[in-house]
Amino acid sequence: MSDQTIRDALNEVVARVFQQTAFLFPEPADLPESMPSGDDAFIAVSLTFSGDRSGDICLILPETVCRELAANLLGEDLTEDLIRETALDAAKETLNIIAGQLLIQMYGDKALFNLSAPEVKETAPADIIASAGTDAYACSMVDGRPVLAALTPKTDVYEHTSTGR
Amino acid sequence: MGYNILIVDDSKTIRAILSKTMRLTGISISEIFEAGNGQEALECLHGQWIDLVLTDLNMPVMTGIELIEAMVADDLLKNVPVVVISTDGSTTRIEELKAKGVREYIQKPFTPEDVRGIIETLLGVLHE
Repeated sequence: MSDQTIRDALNEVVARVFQQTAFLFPEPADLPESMPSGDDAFIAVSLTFSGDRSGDICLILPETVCRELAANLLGEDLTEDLIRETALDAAKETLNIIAGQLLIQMYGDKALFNLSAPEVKETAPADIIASAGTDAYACSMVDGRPVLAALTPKTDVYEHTSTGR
Repeated sequence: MGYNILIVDDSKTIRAILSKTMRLTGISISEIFEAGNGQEALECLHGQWIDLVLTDLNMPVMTGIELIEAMVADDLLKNVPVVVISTDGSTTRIEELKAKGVREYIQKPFTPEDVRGIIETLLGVLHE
């Protein structure tokens, strides 16, 4: 499966899930050459999947977007009272939903997967991108703020078999 | 007299959304209990009369599938209706869950109407 196929699926699913769950409308974009540095901290949420296929799925987004996700999910106004734990919890749940839809879209609805609990860490996106490579990430802009998503499959036995490699 | 509902999900956000959704359905609810994993759910089920369990699948400590298996093996709990609410959309998974006795399956993200329709049917509540 090519990087472009994965990026297209990621862009489609991220846009759909943000729209369905939080009325946010990400627009696919090229990965910025330099990530914004300002006051907005970035959060990386990741999980692993195993089963018929295995790999990692990661979502990197500004904390302000996490707060909007939480407020919209809960149907509440976005205020300072919304605690950080709730914002991070919303980011984890959003990743869970993205993972569920993405795996079905890519591998079909008969495939079975087990997802790990999402883990959160505060991060500098440039560090993560540097370690994973720019080709791995799909980028969307939410009101001018970048949201990155990546799916990193582990050794794909089925594809190798079918192509005779 | 209303129904006692148990919501099982490791996400406090999802528990809050489901709790709010249940209260918006118009179904007569006596009390909503919450648990963060299957183990906490079992403790609640052994301490309270519960009419309906809404559970996620992927949770730490004890998963939703382990909870369902424990309920099926327990004579006191095996007839409590369980609805799974999960991000997992695999038809294979859904068939596996139905075979274990799960009554209904709702895929996240859900709308209040999705939940209401299924719960009303399950509880035998008639539309006015």
